Amino acid sequence: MKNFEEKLNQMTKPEVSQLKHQNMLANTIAKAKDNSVLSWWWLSIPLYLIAALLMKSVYMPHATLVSNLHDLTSKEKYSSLLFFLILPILFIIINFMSIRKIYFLSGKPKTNHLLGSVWFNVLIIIFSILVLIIYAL
Amino acid sequence: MYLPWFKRIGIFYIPTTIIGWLLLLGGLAYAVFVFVDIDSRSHSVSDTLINFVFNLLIIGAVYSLIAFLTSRTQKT
Repeated sequence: MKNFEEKLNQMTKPEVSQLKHQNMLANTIAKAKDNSVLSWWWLSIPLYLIAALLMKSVYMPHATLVSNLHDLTSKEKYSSLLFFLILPILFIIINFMSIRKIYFLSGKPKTNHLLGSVWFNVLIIIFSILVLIIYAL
Repeated sequence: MYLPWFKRIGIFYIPTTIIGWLLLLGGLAYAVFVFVDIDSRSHSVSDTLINFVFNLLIIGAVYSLIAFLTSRTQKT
């Protein structure tokens, strides 16, 4: 019996070195970053077009960004609809869902802590809204 | 589906397999072809660069989409 007690004392508690929840959170953060990088590449196209049209409006007399954008949308109806309307809306939804998932998985942290891991997703959402606003002008 | 053709480093996808490298080289070769084509039709350096950067962004976006879809890891 004494021997048994010694054995019990020597036995350690079963430990799980890494919780499944931690893996889920790490996977979700990695997926959110993948989504934001993909969004960034596709969003760079309308952002580049806006920058080019802005430069054109600076150097061309009597031309504004809005008038240049209207010219472009009348010439390239479907592609401009894709780049300036459909893709930004899609990126807002995808990145918002990613942020929401991270927020709940990491136990509803404070804004500062959350921004540390999702700042790029937030940036993509801001740029997407900017593209939508410029397109709506 | 387990397709680890690419690995993401920052905002770039780096190939990890031969197919990935072939895709990257194909994209680069197409970018060079586009540059030569635009350069032969443009009237100035800025004209070439403005049009080439736009095409380069489209190539980069398509490449990143392929890399995004083919760098999925197995669900545990």
